[in-house]
Formats: sequence, structure tokens, C-alpha cells
Amino acid sequence: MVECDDGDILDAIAQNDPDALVMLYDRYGRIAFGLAYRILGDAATAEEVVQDAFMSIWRRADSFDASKGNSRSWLLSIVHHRAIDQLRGRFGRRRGEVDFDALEPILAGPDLWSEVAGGLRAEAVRTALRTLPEEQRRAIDLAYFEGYTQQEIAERTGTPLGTVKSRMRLGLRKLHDTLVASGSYRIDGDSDGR
Amino acid sequence: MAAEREHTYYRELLGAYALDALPDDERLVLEAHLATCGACVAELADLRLAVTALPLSVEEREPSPSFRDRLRAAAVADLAASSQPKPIEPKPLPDNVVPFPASSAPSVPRRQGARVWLPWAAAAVFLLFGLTMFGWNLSLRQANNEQVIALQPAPGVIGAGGELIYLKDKQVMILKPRGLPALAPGQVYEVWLIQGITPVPSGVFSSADGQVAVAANLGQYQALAITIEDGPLGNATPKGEKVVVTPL
Repeated sequence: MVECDDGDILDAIAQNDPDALVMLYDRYGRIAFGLAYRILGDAATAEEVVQDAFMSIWRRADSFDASKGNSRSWLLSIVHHRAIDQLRGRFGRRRGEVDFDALEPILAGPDLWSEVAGGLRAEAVRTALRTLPEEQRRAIDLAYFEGYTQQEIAERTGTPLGTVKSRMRLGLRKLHDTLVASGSYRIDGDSDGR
Repeated sequence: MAAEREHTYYRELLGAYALDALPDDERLVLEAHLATCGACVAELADLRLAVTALPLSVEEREPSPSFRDRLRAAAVADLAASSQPKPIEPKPLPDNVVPFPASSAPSVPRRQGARVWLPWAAAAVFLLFGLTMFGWNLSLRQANNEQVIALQPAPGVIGAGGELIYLKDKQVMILKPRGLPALAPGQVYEVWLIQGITPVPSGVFSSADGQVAVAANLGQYQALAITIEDGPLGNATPKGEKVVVTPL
């Protein structure tokens, strides 16, 4: 598997090929660990979370339809979900188990897994985030990277709850529109698998 | 007008919903609204796409050098566990295996007094001698590729046992310890592979009856040990109590 795309890798994982899992790790392990570390701030715990996420994919690869989504987003959503659970003390499950029932509404969203997200590049995202007003970016950060609810964010920042809701929506709206305007989302026809 | 106000109210929740920051009650009522509102569904799709972009804003980082091997070993262990037709408590056992009695022995409190710490190699030799004296076989071979070794309790530890399954073609050891002494809060079990007299840290775990995989060539080591160390990372050299010491 020299020039394989993510779909090939997931197919091989579904065929119980450990080397394919390692190949997926070589491709996305650094961003997965970067995300877990960003949320948790602890390397050992971040490694546990990332290993759990890869093992979840190892066990669930056969259920993933690569034609409808991209595996990077899938992996990173699992890492995010797991890391926030760990951070916020919602770690009731045994290690190695991801609550796919809780993830199901997210996993089922074809928009989230749309191939257009596969073309996103880190620098484009960072640039787009920099265009957001500070208070919108802060609200999004507190929710996404620290796992706070809207109420907790309101209390933490001394901001009315309604304002927090608006900041999250307007911030995400602007982020989306900026990425679209910059051509960062891949549109139909460009499908190199990453 | 009332319908428009209602729509505006729900629309305002979409950002928090996409970020999973809504409390359950609001989430449920919003989901009911989404079932009837195409405009909100369309906006939610955009906001979720934006959320998908967020993890890409972080700096990539390299996990520890051993992580890649550990991940592969975990996959191999998972594969072996799911494909093993029989757990390694076979009945009847082959002639060259004597059942290891510790798994059925009652667990007793760990020795609390001063302990004599034998050098690692000496401990392994002592155990090998002792076990030979009692006529215990330490290993059996299953099929051509799999070697099973009974884990032996360290001197003074009663009840610890389990097995090590070595997959030769994968060069992966799967440890299935049983009856390890309980951990105090903040402690972990740490696995050591003993090379000569040097214990090489080879992984930590926290479940006394769990399963752990170690990627290593068994032929390069003379013994395996499990100690209790400070978590979550364990120690670079063994400092805690030995609970398993098994010649390889």
C-alpha cells in the first residue's frame, strides 16, 4: 500500500491488518495527539486518548463508509469527544471503549463527514479563526477545547447567556463563511482522500 | 409572528448545539424543532462543518517514540483476543503443563514489612530453581507460532498469576495477569523486561485483571517482571514492590 488513500487504509483495517492501522497513525497521529494534548495538557493522558481513538477505529472500520466522509474528521471527532470526556470527568466507561451511542448523532451527520472537510488545511483554519472577533473565538474555544457548557461559559466570562449563544453561532457562521470564501473546502470532483 | 420568534429562538441555539454546549433540556427541544425546520437544519450543517475545522487549528505534536509500536501491539493483541477460540485455562491441560495454582488461591494482603530486594537476575534464577523443584512447567507452545508462559508471583506475593502469550511472528507479548495485589490511588502496574540485569520499562496498566500488549522480541530478554509504581507514567527504573517475576 504505497499510494493508497484513506478508504484503502480503512478497508485494510476492516480486514484486521495492524499495519494499516499504523499507516493511518502515520498519517494522522500527530494531529490527533496535538488535539488531545491541546485539550488535556498532559502527554500521558493524551496518548491514552489517542490510542483509544485509534482502537475504536480498529474495531469499527467496517462500519465507516469512506465514500461519504473522511477518516481524518472521524478520527479527530472521536479524539475530541474522548478527551473532553476525560477533561470534564465524564469518564465513566472503561478505557478503550468509546460511547458510540453518544457519538451517533454526530457520526450520523453526513454534513460533518462530507468530503469537503477533507480538503481543509491547518493554516487556512488558523487564518480564518484570526478573523473572528476575540469574544467569539473565546466562546468557541471554551466550548470546544475546554468542554464548557454555554451556562458555564456565561458564568466564567461574566457574560449574559444569550450573548454567549450568539457569539458561538456567529463565530461558527463566520468561520464557515471565511473558509468557503477562501476556497478551503474541497468541492465535488477533488477527492484525493486527504 | 409567533412562529418567526420561535424560529429565531431556536436558531440562536444552533452554535451551542454544534459545539455540544447545550444542556440536555434545550438540546432535546431544539432537536424537536430541527425535525420540522429545514432552514435550521441547513444552518446547522454549515456550523458543524465549521466545528470540523477547529481541531485543525492546533499544533501537531509527536507522541512518545514507543507509541507507534504500542498502538500496533494493541491492535495485534485485540486481534489475538478476538480470534482466540479458547482462553488459556484449557481443560485438560497438555501433559507438560502443571496448572498454576495461584489463580484459585485466596488473595492475601501484601507483605507490609521490610522487604529484601534481590537483584533482578537473581530473583529470576531463584524462581526458576524453585519452580523446577516443585515440578512446575513454565511454558507450553500452542500451534507453531504461539508460546504461553505462566506468570509467576514475586517472592512473598500470593495470588498473583496469569499468563503471557507470545506471538512469535508479530513479536508481541500479550500479558493477561490475574490476582495482582490491589493498587492504591495514583499507582499503576509497570511491566519490565529484564535484559541481563537491566530492567527495561515496557509499559504501564492499571487493571489488575486486564490485558496489556508489549511489542518486544522475547528472545532478547531473560525475565519479565511487574511492579507497582507511581502513576500515571510509572518509573524509569523499578522502585516499587515486585508482584510478578517470571523467567523467560
